[in-house]
Amino acid sequence: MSEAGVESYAGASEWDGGALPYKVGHKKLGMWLFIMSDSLTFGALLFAYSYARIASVEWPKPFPFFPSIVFSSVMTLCLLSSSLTMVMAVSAAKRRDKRTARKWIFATMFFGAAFVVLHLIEWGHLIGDGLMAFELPEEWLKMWPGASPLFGATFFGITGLHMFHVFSGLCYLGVIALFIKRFDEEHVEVSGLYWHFVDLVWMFVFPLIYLLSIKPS
Amino acid sequence: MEHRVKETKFFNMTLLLLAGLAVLAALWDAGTSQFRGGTDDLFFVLAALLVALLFATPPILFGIRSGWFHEKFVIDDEPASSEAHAAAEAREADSHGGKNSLFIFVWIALLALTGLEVFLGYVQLRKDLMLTILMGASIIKAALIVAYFMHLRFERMSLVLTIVPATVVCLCLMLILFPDGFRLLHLR
Repeated sequence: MSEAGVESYAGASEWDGGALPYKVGHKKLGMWLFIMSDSLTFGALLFAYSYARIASVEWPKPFPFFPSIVFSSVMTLCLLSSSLTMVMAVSAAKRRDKRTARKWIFATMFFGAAFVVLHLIEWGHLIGDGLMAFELPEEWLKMWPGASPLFGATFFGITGLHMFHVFSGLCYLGVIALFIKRFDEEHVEVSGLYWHFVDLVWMFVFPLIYLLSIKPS
Repeated sequence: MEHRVKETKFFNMTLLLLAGLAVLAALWDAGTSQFRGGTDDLFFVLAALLVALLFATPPILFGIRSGWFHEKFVIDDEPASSEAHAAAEAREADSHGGKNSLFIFVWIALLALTGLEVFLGYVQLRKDLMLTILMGASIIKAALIVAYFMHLRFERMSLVLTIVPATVVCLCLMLILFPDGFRLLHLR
């Protein structure tokens, strides 16, 4: 609940928007509505992935526990820690302590950038193995005969869209941090909402894509 | 008077128990048939969940009327007395900052749940059990993030009721695709 967003309506009559049924500013409500629609986008993608996997006779399980799963666990750790630093940034901004808020936002961006870099390294490994959007590597087909070629499409599609969200979140946070003097605490809080949502999506992508495709040892 | 309070409590508990039984029936059907029966199973599960909602409504309404939810969700912004106003202000200030220990605790809980998931992958659990536990843990994690990191727990109840049920219902509607996925597998 930001004072700035709420106060600007103070004094207006209820018919002029003086009533605040949600008691949040319009920026925050807009971000919540965006998050609702975006969660449906990711939900649809994850359901499509599950559908393809259910309807396939065989599905590749290409991620060995070490190094792939450990690697993606470190990525999860990065994203969760970035959420915590974002919370700290928001609470610093609420105390009107913009200098500290900026530092915490930079810490958040550091963890987010680490996530993107680690993820791109992993993509590089998979592409190096010969994984394409609609084509599996030869060895995988020997290991899992009749495996669905949709693996690459679902993997690159879902993690790619998520990585794009992380990247745009980095740009968003960068703008907020660089010009923080012009923004009030509501802006920081709204950018925090977006960042936490990206984290939330990864909480579903990580188990469904990675942990359910661990290579049997 | 005390007798009546006891009676109300008993009544509410019985209704909640019935609601729980209906939820269990839905879970049991989902677990045993695994939606192989197609739309019939889905319909049964949805009907059972609706019955559970029906049973759970009187206790929830009672809880709202007796002010039980007021402590859980900040719902009224104009407390009657000045004392209560001061208390609400203190709570508001509390929710705006100075709660960093709570957030660190939530972060640790999220890390612990992630660790549990990775451990389950390490021991290579049975596939269906694994999927159930993973989705359960993920939903708990998502709820923690939404409630604490995204501050929804400290918002007005009206915002929570606008955002959460609509999204959850829309996501659950997509479940209707899964019977078709199983059918496609059997057609091969």
